[in-house]
Amino acid sequence: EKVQIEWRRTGGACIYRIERRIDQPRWLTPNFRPSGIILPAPKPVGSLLCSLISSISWDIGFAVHFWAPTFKWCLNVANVADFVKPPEEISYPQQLALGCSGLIWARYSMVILPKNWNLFSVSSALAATCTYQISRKIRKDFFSNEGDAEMTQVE
Amino acid sequence: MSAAFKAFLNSPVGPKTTHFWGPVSNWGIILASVADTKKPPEMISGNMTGVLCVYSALFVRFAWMVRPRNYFLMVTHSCNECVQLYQLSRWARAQGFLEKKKEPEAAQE
Repeated sequence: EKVQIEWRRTGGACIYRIERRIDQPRWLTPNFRPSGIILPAPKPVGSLLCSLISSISWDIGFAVHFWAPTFKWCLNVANVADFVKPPEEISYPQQLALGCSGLIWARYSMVILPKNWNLFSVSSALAATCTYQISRKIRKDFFSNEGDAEMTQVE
Repeated sequence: MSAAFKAFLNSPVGPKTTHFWGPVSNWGIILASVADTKKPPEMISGNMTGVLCVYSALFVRFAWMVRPRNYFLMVTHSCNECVQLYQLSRWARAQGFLEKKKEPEAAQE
């Protein structure tokens, strides 16, 4: 006998697990019966702010799920602080690897459920800063020596 | 053997999905840092290396506490922690932070 399981909220304090024969229409009430599992009904969320804070907090404060991806912003800050460094000190492999990881994690955060906008934003920013650093080094390596060569030839 | 390999290829955390390439891209950071150990320490960025050390420590704990436990990510960031600490020591030595103070010894003599 095929039955369909349904979780019926009656407006009280409990949710009832109800089995219904699959070939009976729903409006025919005699054919479902509670099958014994009764859960306490979840409370509705009080406010948007409460739901926001509870989603990122734990009993000790903020959960590790929040801090670890949020600390990635410091990586962006360090990269931005390195914008003033001479391009000779930038390392291609590190910036390339960080930029690729930023792009891949940005795509990952949009593919998983729920979508992690925090991770998406920080990964996109990381990809952008790494791309800028690489462009600075490419500009120095390939596009500024031509000017120097011309100057030496003139002298 | 090939059956297991094909199962891996088609699994929901396999190479056809993005769940695989996320932690693999973190190995790129490690390999890049290993390649950078051959370069002179003046090229190391103290900002980035220090931040990456803290970042990897946080993600080791994250990979341990998240459910299901992400052992691959944990191993990735443990290795990254080691490489970044080594790079940080090279940078600190080049900057002169790790020199022993010889002045008190000279004063005692």
